[in-house]
Amino acid sequence: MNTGLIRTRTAILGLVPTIATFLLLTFYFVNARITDVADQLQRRGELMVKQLAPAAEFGVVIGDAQLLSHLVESVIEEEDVNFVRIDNASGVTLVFRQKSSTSQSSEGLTFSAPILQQEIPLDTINDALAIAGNRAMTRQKVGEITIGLSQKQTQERQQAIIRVAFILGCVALLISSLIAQFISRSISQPIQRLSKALRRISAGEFSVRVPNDSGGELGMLENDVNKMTENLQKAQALEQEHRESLERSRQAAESANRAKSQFLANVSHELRTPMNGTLGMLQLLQETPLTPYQAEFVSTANESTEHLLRIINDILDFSKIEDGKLVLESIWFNPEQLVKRAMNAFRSEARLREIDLLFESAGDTKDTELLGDPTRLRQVIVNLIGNAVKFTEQGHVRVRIVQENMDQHMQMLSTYVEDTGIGIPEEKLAIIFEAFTQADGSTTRKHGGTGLGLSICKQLVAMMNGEVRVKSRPGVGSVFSIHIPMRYRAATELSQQKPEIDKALKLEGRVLLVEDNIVNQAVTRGMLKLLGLEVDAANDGDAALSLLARNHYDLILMDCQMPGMDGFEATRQWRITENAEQRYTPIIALTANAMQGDKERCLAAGMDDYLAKPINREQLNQTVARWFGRFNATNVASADSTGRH
Amino acid sequence: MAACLCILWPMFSHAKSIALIYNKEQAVFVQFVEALTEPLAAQGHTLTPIHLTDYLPVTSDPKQTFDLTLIAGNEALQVVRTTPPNTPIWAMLVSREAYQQSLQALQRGHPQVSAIYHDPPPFRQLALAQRLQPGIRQVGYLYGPAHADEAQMLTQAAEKLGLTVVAMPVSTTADLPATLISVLQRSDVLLANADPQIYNSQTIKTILTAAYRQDKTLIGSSPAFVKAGSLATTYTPIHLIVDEVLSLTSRWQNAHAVQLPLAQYPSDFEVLVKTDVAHSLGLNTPGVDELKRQIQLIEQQNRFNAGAQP
Repeated sequence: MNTGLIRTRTAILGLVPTIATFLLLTFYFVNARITDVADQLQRRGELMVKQLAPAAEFGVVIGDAQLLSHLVESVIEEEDVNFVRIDNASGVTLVFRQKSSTSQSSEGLTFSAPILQQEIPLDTINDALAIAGNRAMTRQKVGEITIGLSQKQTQERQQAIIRVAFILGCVALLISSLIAQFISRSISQPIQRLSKALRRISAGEFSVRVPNDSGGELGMLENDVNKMTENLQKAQALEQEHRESLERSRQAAESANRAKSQFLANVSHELRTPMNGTLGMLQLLQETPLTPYQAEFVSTANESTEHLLRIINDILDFSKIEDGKLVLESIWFNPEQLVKRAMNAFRSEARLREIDLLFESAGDTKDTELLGDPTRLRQVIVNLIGNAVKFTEQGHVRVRIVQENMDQHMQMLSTYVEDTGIGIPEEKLAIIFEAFTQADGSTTRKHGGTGLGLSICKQLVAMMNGEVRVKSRPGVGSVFSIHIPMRYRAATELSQQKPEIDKALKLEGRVLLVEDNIVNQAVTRGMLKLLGLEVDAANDGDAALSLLARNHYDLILMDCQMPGMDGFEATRQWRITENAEQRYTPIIALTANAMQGDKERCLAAGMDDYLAKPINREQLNQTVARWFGRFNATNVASADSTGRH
Repeated sequence: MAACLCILWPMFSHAKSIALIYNKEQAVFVQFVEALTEPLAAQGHTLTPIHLTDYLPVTSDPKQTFDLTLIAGNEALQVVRTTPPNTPIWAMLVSREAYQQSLQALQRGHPQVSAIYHDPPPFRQLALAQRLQPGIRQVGYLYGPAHADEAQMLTQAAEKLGLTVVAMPVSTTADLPATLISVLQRSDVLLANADPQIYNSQTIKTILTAAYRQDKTLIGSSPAFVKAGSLATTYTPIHLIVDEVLSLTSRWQNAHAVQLPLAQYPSDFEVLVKTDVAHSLGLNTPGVDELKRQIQLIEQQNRFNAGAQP
């Protein structure tokens, strides 16, 4: 019942009481009618004998059978009457009449009444003079009348009643079921219509309207549903508008962010170009004979410039990460070597500040190589060690790496950087990884830094599917650790015997340097000359191509961004020319666009390698040496043959 | 002066002491006594009503002497006849049959015995029948063994009126239906008498039904018959009997002895007609007063004729 359709329910609701009432009433009335008919026969019989008895009195008294016969004839003609019998007081039957159509044995009712002599007061003198009223009389029985009534007619009448009641019942049932069906349909149809409409509305079709023609509560419901839909439609329109405005805001924000990133990139580019010049010049200056004072000044200037460069690189990295443009490399590397080299950068500073810089390792560090981005991992570790050294006044900084096998292919690389520095209050621990934040605002003033370092570390480690943890007690020290799962393999010979190219490297050959910035041109030319190379310089692509057409070069260093023909175009044209002449000159790109995608663009234009500005002398030496080694093996004078300074 | 005469009246009158034997249990006799007492006293007579059970103790009292003994009703008649008083006896409200049967016994006490019958005289009834249905010829009559002489009287009376009586005796109740039907078939009207053997509460309906079935009327013999469905009757109500008694007693005031008339039917009467029955039978009846007048006229003629005869 509870799970039935409304239509079924209303139909049942309409029909059941009707049927119940109808059955009860029909049963009651039919029963009453049947009883009535039976009672009627009973009463009729009783009445007949009662009426007939006095009428028969005279005939019985005078024993006149003929007279009684007349009396009986009229009675026997009555329907239902089977027989009539009149006996006298002695029990002698005076008259017996039976209907010819019925037999004695036929079922019926028998009624008898005594025939009493009617008395009229006459006997006393009182009666004679009519003085007193009627006195009680005893009535003498002179005979008996018996009437037999047939029940056949009554039974037929009763059957007719049942028949009629049945037919009427069927008609009433039919009518009530039609009415019930009509009512149930009149309820269920609008509800079904509503339900269909609501399904469409819930599917987001707010233009749907329910025809409001049911009237009554259903009409109100339809009206309400329509109003609700209207409101929903309005709300949807509002929401759409709101969403569009949000989208516009988002796009505006993104555009602003892009503009900011672009600005940062531009600024960093613009800053790095002169920085490159400064740094290059300082490094070249260090190669000239200097008094101890001068050497001290140059060294300090060099450090300051490097520091400034780190800050710019941090900002650039942060910007890349924020933009999602930073892509990690997958290269096999030796983690212990990586950590040790990172530590080497701080040895002189540690020595200067009288801090012990310690290294420990555990697990299979020496024997395995890990797959990951060693440059970025090194950046993270350098950052952590740098912080540790920076914030430690005395004591030590201990770097410990632990490699634990996770399974056959994966290792968990954990690097702990422990210091005995100022420590971080517990309430600040949560915010130190946020950008532009330092535990104490005063530390910026005291120790410098952009406050981007830890934020970049955290994001880089997260990109490597690892995490950064920190434990600290103010005044006692801090332990920063990174935990990164990485694929591993047994160490190969190649990686262990990586040739180290140092400043004593000497090369022979002719190099074309294409660079529009005069300072950078001078710095790079100086560094290349220090390598022993002959250098021609061009200010743009056109100049470069004309030089290339006239001279033979062993290597080309090509700046990408130049006024007039840029590096990419010049490379493409040179590769076409060169290809026709069946020769090949390696081209190394020089670019200040330290953004993701630069390397790919360069390789696509036909360049062979890539150097980011500002040009670091060590990197330049390594790269140039590598290409001379590959194409001009005879030109390379190895460190072993030339010896160290 | 008148008052003086009234006071002296008994000293000069011959007032009679009258005993009245009756059944005080029956209303009709109580009425009769009450109707008679005051007028008799006014006539100077003394009436002593005696309930029939007190009859013997009172009359055997030597101190009690009566000039006349009145008997009211057949019951009182039966009581008195056992020990008749030695006074003249005058019976009232008795049937002729009962009186005739008791006459001898009563005369043992005193030779002067008389009565005023209660039943209507046959001649009067026949005259009534003839007045109501002038065309009738045959008069049916049923009588018991004790009423044979009445049939005789009736026959004589009928002759005077030019009618024929069809009289048949009914010896037992069982014979009644057959006899009744037989009589009805041969007569135009049935004349009832006061014979309780034939006409009683049990039989009257059958008799009336049988008569009307044959389109015949029943005359007589008392108001009860008329009430039961009889067409008409003559009767003498109590006050007329009282009047008749008083008219006689008034003559005794100047006489030493009591002089009783012969036993006779009451001279005055009333006529009672059941108009419903008359209408049913299609009879156009004159009013009861007219009927009475006509009957009285016929009776006068009859007496005249009787007197003219030798």
